Amino acid sequence: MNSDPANWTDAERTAFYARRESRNRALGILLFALVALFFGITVVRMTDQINAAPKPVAAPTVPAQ
Amino acid sequence: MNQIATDATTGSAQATLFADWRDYFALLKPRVMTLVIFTAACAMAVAPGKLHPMLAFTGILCIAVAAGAAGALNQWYEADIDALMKRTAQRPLPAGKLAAGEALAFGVTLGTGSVAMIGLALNWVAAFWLAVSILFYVVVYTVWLKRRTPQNIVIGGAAGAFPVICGWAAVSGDTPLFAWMLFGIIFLWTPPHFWALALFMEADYAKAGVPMLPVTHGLPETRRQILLYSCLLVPLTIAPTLLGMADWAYGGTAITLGAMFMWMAIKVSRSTATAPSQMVAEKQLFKFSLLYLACLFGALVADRLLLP
Repeated sequence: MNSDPANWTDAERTAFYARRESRNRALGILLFALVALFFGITVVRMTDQINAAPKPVAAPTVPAQ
Repeated sequence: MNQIATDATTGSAQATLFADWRDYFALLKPRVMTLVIFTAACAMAVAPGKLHPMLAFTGILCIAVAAGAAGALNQWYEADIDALMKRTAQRPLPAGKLAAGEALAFGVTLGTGSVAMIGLALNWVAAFWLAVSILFYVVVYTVWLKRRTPQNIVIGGAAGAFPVICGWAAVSGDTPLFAWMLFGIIFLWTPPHFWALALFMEADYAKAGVPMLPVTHGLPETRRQILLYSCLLVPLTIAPTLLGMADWAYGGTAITLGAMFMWMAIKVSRSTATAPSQMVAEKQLFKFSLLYLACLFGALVADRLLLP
């Protein structure tokens, strides 16, 4: 393998592009999965907090005099 | 830092242009991770308390990623001895597929990320033990003990046992006696498991200069130590039942599997084989030890979740 990309053979250049593409795809999938995970965690934690919050009690109605 | 890793930093810059995602994945030691995930998931299933499936998944993911980070940092530090052993020579760093700096950055990022995430999503007790597990594996086992003492596997076994504590803490937020008993089971299981492997890989470790017990104290002493640790392990696996923490479905499984484990350990202790090709009992114990731990933790989960 040549150290200088300018001296790469066609086969080396093709291998480089293929590997770079595979790395970028993997990174893209990973970032998308992380976004989905953070969203899911946020929804679950917020739902827990909403459910744990004290429910507002309806004001007692004053019977008509 | 070691020579090969330094060479990798300076000499394989162009090689890393050709690194594939699989090379990064291999840094995580995925096969080791499997057992960590399984035991941690079992601890989460057994621990008292309820966890939303999304949070349980996050907990297991963080524990798995932390184990991977520790594996990456281990490979970063050990690239020189990995290059000398047939079993590890094709790992990404000794093979020149990745630069040392990349492996280090990858490990540190995953390690800190997993600790922060489990802390924010679950609780900081689990985050604390996850950080301890990474630091223990990297600093205590890899950097400090592995190249200095034949007891490396014994103390390093704790690193493989911490994920159980993390899993338990992720659900309940504490680490009671039962969690530490599960820790103890993995801790005592590790020496017979690894020394069985080291017996038939002894030449590889000797070549790399790693002071594994068969290299420093010989094969008979290693076989004696395997039997000794097996004698400590089996009663501990039965203890949760005797103390009323688990039912007899688990207890019966632990006794049956323990008897089989002891029988194989005795066979190893009586073996006089010196050539790896003749070490049938050692290979049998190594393979069975993996099944043993999986079945033991599986039985514990079944005992807790499936039986009334």
